[in-house]
Amino acid sequence: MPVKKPSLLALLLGLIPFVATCFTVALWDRVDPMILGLPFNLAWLLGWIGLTSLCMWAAYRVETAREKKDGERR
Amino acid sequence: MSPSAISLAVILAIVGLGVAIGFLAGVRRKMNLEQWTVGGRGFGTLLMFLLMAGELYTTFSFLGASGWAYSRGGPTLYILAYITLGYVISFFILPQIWEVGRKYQLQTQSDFFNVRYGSKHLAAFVCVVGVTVLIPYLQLQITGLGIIVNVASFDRVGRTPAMVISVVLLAAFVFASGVRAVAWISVLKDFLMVVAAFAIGIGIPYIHYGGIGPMFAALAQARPAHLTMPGATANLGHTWYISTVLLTSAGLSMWPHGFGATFTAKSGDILRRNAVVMPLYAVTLALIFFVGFTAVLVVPGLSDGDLALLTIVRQSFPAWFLGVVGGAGALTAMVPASILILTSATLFAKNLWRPMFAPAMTDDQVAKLARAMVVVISGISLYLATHSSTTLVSLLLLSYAGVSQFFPGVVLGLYWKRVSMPGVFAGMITGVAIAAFLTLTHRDPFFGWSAGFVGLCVNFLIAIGLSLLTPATQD
Repeated sequence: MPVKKPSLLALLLGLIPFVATCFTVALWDRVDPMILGLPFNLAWLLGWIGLTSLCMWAAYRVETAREKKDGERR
Repeated sequence: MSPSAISLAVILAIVGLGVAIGFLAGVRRKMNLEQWTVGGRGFGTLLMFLLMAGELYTTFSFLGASGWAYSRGGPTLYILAYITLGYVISFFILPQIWEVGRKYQLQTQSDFFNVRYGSKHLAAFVCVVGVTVLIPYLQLQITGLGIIVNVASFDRVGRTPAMVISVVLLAAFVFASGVRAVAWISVLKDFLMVVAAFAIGIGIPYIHYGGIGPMFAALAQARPAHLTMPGATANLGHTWYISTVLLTSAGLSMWPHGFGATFTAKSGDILRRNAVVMPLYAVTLALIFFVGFTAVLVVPGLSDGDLALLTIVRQSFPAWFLGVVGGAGALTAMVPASILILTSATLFAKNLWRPMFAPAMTDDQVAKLARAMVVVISGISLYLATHSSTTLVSLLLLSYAGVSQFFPGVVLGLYWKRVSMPGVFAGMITGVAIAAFLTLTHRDPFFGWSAGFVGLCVNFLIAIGLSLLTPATQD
């Protein structure tokens, strides 16, 4: 059954949000400086929700371009 | 009319309206819930926003997230990260699962394991774990309904009678309308929920502090440690955060009811596009956090954090508005609860009982058994809800500790040719056993690590190690 693996580039793009919002928690989990009135950790996560969408949009472009190329080759 | 009569009447009216809409709209048409969440169907932009954002407001996020923001503080932030990262993971597995589903005509999660690993027993085990993890999730919804009725009645109706009433209502709701009506009711629920979230998320900090910024400034001054991890807890620090986020984001796509719905998508591409857009809606969850954080200084000393949101709404707004928020919250519990009850009852009858014990059963008999199971499962969840004082977030984490144990079997099954059935089966059994043992003996977190994550790591190790020692399972 094993299906076609995602491309390395798409996987790397997917890894960015994990680094930013999960593994690096010790670096950004603080109150100051407050941004737009929000504690820094909350503002950081909210900002990264938007940036995650951007990363995944890029991954989407990578994957669809690859599928299109595969389709032409066939 | 007394305030309690007003708010209860409004709640009843909203729930009644929901049921009526369900009857009118969904009676004869097959309407799958997934159809609301995937694919373009020509809704206006605003309606589409309301629907998508509303999907994220469950009893868990609505009462539970605000409750944790109130009682635990910083660790609550894990919710924003796990929802976002859960969709990132879904990008890499759901389209593939969908493709496999199309190829082999799969309908449920057990079917996937059955086809991939060719083992009836593994499929049955997946089914047992699936039904078991849905029960704390269901317990969560019932506890939430109990809290809503209790607070909205200004404490005149106790939590236990409130839960009993809610379960009777819920079972009647499932019997009367079935899952077909649920999609339409969720339109009303999503609409009310988003309107309520904006009204209280912005309104409550404004009423008490003059804005969101001043509220956080006051909280940072009075209780600076509350806003970071481990917040008001002793052991929910950064290790807990990382392990919990990894566990729950891996589990997000593993729910039995969600997994089955994946197969109904029109194409794999839709699932991928969904994964790009869905994280954005998680931003609206911050509104609920604002309410919980405001409550810290405004209504201190509540015995149960899950009461925080409704208590502060009751104190800040007139009774009719408490009724609106409570009614939206009640629908928010009833909609997923009916899906959970139906999924677990059907899984039990169709994927467990018939293949294992009674292969000769007709479809009619299976349907009858499923209906009987609706009552049994509701009863078990009610019993658990009335006999435990676990917070809503802890209940969800308990479910996640179990449901995430499917992750290795799914990912390895999709991407690794060497994987073997004994490896996946042994890994899953060990993972579930470790998660259950650590949690039930109150060892969660385990040396700072989320118990479910410890189980998941061992699960992966055994699945990979044993697969290398046994012949690969070809499907």
